[in-house]
Amino acid sequence: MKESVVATILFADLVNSTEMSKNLTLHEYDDMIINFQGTMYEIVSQHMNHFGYAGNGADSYWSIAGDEMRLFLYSGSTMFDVRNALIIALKIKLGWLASAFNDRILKEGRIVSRVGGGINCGKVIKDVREWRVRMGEDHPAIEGYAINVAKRIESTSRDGTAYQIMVGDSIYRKCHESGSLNVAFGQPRGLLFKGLGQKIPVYEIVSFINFETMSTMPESFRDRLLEKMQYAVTQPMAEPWIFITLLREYVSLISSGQYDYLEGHAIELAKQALEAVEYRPVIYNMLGWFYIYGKSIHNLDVALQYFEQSLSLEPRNEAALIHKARIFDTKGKLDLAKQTYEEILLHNPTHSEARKKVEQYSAQ
Amino acid sequence: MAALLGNLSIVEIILLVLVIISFIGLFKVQKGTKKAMEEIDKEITVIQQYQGEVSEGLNSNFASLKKDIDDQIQGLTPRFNELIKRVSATLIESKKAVITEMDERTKPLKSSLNENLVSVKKMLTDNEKELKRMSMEIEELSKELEKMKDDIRERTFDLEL
Repeated sequence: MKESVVATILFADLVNSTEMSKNLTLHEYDDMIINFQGTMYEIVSQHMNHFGYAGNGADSYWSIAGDEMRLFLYSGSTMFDVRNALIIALKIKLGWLASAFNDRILKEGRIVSRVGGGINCGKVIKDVREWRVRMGEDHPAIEGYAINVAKRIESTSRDGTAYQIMVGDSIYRKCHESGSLNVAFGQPRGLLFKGLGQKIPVYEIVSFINFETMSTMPESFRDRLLEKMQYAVTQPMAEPWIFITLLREYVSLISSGQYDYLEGHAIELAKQALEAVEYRPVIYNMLGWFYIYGKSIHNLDVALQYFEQSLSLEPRNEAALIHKARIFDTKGKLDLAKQTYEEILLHNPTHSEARKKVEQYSAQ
Repeated sequence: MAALLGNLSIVEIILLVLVIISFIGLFKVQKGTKKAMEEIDKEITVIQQYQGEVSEGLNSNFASLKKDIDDQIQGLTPRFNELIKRVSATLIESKKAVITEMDERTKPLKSSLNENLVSVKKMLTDNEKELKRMSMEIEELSKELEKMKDDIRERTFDLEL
């Protein structure tokens, strides 16, 4: 039965695979594709199962062809689908970095093969097409303009410098409206797509903080994944997304209380990341976090300095503001704490902690 | 002597007279004391004689009293033994009756209890697997809750970085 649904579409493929095919023999290229397809299959199938997608066209379907993976999510909750598309895109990059193919390249000290992605969201038609049934595919599939746009967006990923995951305007707006995702985008690029006849804004993800990326990786990838990431960031031209993902993992490990020895290393890595990452507020915030919660390096004054640096780059950064307010509160500088909480409320009037604290200070 | 006295002064003569009077007085007192001691000895002898007589009388009375009591106890013992025997017999009879009555009354209860015990045992055996399953489910739920707690904490970190 034909119906209109809102779908989130993710296209992912190997960056510069055409150029690579020129330098590899047919068998070497095929080995790479086999490795790529196996990695995609393991990561996407495990993720869909873990997050409760029924698949088979009911709420999602996905396929792999050559060096491309395409994924369609339409569970009925657009934000859930957007969140999953972002996590899958990052997990695919992580999986490919840790793949046997890239493992060999890393050991040889060469620049690893990368995966680029494009994500878009929009209304599509969900239907069971007759020709598909005749081909033996009796499950519903989706068709629509949003898919074409997603494919075009994905084709710009090779120009990316941070995550090489590009999103359309719809994804950009949904992430900003929701406030439940810590994702930052670069400046929009108005790109003219052949055949579409109009400029469409495309944004590159420059920071994506999500604990589920690492924690829901398939078991087979988890082995030595951290070690591989730690090695990757020591290589020349290390990718910014590896720094951010690795630092986020350090936050989880340090907060568990069992990895105090990582604190010094986390600080060093974050300082190194300041050189490699263009979007720095998140790195300053993580540095501040390490100085607040690190047992051996605990120093609220240093933490405050980092949050101030984050705010100098992004004055409305809520994460930096909330930590700043808490530090003032802890230090007994209640006027400054109140002022900072009020600043949070100015941009986000529903912020519960800021509201409670301002009420509490006013009552005193 | 008269010449000797003629050489003494009045005071010395008075002192000499006083010494002589003192000696005479001492002698009289010693004599009275001796007499009193003799009288006391006599009285002690009389008292001792009287005490001997009293003691003899008391011993004789105690012996007769003891004999009387022994005679009376000997007479009571068989009666007392008889009484104990009767009380014991009565108690044994009562106990038997009570046990019999208890047995009679609890017979249906016992059989009912046995039946219940069998069914309870059966029920427990039947439910053992169910209990194990429930226990595993609770354990899983507890793990799930722990994971949810961790996820909430991690999600908070995500938004505060």
